[in-house]
Amino acid sequence: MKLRSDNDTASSDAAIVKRVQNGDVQAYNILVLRYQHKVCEIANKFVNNRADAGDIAQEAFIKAYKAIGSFRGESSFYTWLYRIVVNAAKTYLESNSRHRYYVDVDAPEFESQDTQGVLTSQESPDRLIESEELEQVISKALAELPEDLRTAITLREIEGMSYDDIALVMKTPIGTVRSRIFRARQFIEERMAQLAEGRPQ
Amino acid sequence: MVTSEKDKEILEQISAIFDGEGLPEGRMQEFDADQKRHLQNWSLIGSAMRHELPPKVDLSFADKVMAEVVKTKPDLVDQDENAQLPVHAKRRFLNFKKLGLVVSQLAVAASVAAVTVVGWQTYTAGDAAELSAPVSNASMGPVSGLSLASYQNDNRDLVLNFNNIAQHSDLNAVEDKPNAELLRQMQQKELERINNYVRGYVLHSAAE
Repeated sequence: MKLRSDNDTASSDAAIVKRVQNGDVQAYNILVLRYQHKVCEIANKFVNNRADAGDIAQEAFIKAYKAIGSFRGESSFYTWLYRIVVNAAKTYLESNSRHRYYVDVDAPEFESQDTQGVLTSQESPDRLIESEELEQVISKALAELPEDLRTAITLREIEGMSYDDIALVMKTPIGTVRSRIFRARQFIEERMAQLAEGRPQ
Repeated sequence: MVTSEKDKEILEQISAIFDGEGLPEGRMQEFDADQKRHLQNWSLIGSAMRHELPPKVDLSFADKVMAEVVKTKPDLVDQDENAQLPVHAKRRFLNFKKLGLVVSQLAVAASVAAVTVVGWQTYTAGDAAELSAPVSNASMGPVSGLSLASYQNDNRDLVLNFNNIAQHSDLNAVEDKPNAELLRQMQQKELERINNYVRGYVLHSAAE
């Protein structure tokens, strides 16, 4: 059996992009949620500053939305978005190099950075979470999942397979695949909630 | 967390939508706060499984982006100009285009017809004048002697005469024949006068 993981992700993106192009604004939320972390990481690789990377990522998503009509699906949505992020980061770097001597580091809006370039102030700290601990919780939860649920969510999230292909691989109806993926997410979410409440198992 | 079977069912649908599966027919409704929280968690789960998470994650990032996006109008720059229009506006534009085409075709046809009529009249009038009687020098006359104003005055008299004849014919049908003859003569006379005027105008223009 031939699996089409990359194509599946791209085609599921394409379906959502089509909806956005037809004026469904809320559909764009799905694309933002899918790529937000990746886009922030790309921007950070260019500017090496989490706060600025967040601004660049935000700007890139808005630019992509504004130009969504020009996206013709010749590349994947992510490839197209990637170019926009890179251009936004380059523009930021050019602009920053011109104005670097005028930055007032004592100004209240200047956000301090710790030695690892991680944001430590200004940006609503209660909405920031440490990803290292989160990754550990998620990884542990995955290990605890029943095998059928773990397989379903792994094929979806890591292999990027469509529900149709997962159904073929797992030899189950598509409704079962949908249910398994949802139950896996529920299970991991419960573990994440316990982390947030400060009482991990 | 999920509180009821119905909520669970809705969340399962949203989970599928998040994966680009089972997208609803119409436009998507804005997700409520609880649904957004679940979507954010599923986004974190996926990114963590693929090791794409940055060291610190801003949980309000997607909300901030969407808050700006809903205020933004997308530029449909590379699309066909007409494709940006809604369907009914596109149809109206096409109807307008069709109407414009028909009107312009009619205008061209009318112009051609007018030129043909004028050309034919001039051509036949010239022949008739040659055949009927030699045009006297006086009637050809100096062009300056026949001004457009004087021609118009004469014409006005003729119109009055025609009206009189028409009234006569209405009132007394017995006198139809003589009146018709008189009318024909006056029409012939008028035709000659017009031809003389046109010829004189052409000669005058050529002389200049």
